[in-house]
Amino acid sequence: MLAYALATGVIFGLYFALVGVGMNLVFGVMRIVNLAHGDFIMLGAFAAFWLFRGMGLPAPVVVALCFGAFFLIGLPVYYALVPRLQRAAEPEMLSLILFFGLSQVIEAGVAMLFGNTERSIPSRLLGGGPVHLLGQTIPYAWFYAAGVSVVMMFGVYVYLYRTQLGRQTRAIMAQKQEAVAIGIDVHKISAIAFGIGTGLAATAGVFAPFMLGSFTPSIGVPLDLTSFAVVIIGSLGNPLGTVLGGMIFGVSLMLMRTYFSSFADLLPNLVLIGVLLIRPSGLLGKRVRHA
Amino acid sequence: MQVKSWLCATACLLAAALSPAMAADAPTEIKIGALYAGSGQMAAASTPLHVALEYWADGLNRNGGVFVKGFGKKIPIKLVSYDDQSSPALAANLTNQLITVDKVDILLADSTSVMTASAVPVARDHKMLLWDITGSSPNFFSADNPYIVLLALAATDRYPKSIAEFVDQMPKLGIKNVAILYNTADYTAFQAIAVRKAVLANPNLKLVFDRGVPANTTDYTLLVNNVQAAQPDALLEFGYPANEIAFLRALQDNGSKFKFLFTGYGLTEMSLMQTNGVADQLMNTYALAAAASYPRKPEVGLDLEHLREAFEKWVEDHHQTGVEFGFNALAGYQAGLVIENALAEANSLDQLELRRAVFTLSGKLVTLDGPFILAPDGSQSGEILPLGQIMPGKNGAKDYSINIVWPPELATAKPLYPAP
Repeated sequence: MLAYALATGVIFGLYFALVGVGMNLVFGVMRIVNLAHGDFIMLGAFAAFWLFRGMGLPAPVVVALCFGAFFLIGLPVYYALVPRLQRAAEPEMLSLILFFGLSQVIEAGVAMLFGNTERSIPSRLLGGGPVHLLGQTIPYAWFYAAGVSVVMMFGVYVYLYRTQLGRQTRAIMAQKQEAVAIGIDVHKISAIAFGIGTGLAATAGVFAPFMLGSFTPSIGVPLDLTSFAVVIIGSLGNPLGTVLGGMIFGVSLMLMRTYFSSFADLLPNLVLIGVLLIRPSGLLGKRVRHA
Repeated sequence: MQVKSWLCATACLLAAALSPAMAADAPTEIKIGALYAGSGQMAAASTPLHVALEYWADGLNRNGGVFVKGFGKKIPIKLVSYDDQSSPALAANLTNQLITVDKVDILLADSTSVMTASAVPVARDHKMLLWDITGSSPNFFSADNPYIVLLALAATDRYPKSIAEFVDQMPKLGIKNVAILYNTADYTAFQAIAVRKAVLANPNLKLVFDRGVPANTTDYTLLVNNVQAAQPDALLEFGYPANEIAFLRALQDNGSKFKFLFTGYGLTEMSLMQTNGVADQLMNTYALAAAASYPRKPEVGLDLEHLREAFEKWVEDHHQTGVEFGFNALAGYQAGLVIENALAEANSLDQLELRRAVFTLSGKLVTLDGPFILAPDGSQSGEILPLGQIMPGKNGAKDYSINIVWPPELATAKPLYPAP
């Protein structure tokens, strides 16, 4: 059971990294906490539900459509909210309130439009059957989701470290004022980062029905909490630290489910408290400040 | 002649004097306060229940309202509802608001024990009768609290009576090792306690797996694998709809199967399971045969098919989206029926008089949920569901049927074990 818990923990951890990386990217670039992140994941799940079950599209097309569509949605959301927010005295604190409000509006809107009923997507739509591992079985959908997470993480890495836009993004993350001084268009780069963050959230949403069993309009807030835990373990502001955070969170969750299942939902809070007490900057905290 | 005229005139005057007095005392409307979860974790259970209440109130108002014995006439109903967003803290505040600001005549709790828990002490403090619809935790009821009655579900320590009794039959089928997997919320935890007690009391049965999971668990893959590793002959699983869908999804994705599987919500929200494509996993498994799947003949209210048809039409006409007809919709309708019949017996809207009126229905009212029987503490002892085995039809889960296997007086077939 231990080996199985570790194996599934790693697979789930890769998915959790995808869940958290968008929030971390947005915080790293803009220093704002997007509490509507979980709701963009939820919207991605609804989009996937419609694209898979309504239109019968294959998974790669659904992933590409969701990422692209939500990237485009993220751009006007950025320009409508973030520049004004950043003119305030304490944008970090105000962002909590603003995006919490946005989260409530999105959740209520979706509930009114589609109702609160549980929804799920059959795993067979991703193809493949159960995969036998360590004498037990793991759904093929989990491997698929973990694989897409790895691809998306690699994409984020390539964007940040191998492209001109990525270098400008890292410059803003390291020192915004200096980036402005050398002529970087902060709003343009930030809008792209916000769009990527929103697209990544929607991509995580595509797999939420497969990883979480079912979904409703109210899954956003618990996913925010999960994202927070993952991001803070890895280090707030360091998108690639999210991979480490996701893995630690995933393995811990599966160990808790195996040995202390009744207390499994305490985990995000325990991890958050533990990391904040022992290493407030996260496990890869140093790299944030000197990125 | 003069005396006769005088007597007649006096009688007329008295009648005239008394009639306006009764009419003057009668309120222009009966205010029914209700909470519902329009969002959050409880919304899936709460929304259909509240929609069913609206459907019931709308139906009565179209015919002039609800008859109240004390006023001798029908009075329109006004449903005062607030969205508690699945937050027990907010539910407590809103319950207080319904009592003190809206001054409702009848106070309903939101669905589920989780949400009802916060309303129980508020109602008691204000000496207001809480019409508890599905908050079935035995913790809510005590001999010294007359301000609560349970309407649409047997108290959770009695609710699983059929499966708890059936546990004793398991060794005869060849079952030796039993596993229990349950949601740790009151509703499901109390059911698990009742069944665990029955398993432990039987020397021929061994409990090989016994785990609780948090209420918001929606991924059961690892748990299902852990249960399989314990090699049980029977798995008894108790969860809310979201748990159930996820649990059945895990069985589907893993290709897992148990020789005997009982699910707590399997037949309770069957249409929801069908919508989510997991109903096939329920074939040949066992569940309590809830009213939405197992028609009973009601003495009061619509029968199942007419109710389903009327409810779904009303939902469509009122543009309510994503509302399934299942246990929770039936619970809302059941609450309405109990209120309606109690008011027909109530001499006033005094809270203890309302309690007395509800108790006059105990043992007499038979609805789709079965016989309505109140224990002295206000908890529900009737509405016990038989244990059924869900049998696939020619088209699998689409035209499933139910074999009642327990209690013996209702049984229609013997259990098929191991499940094919």
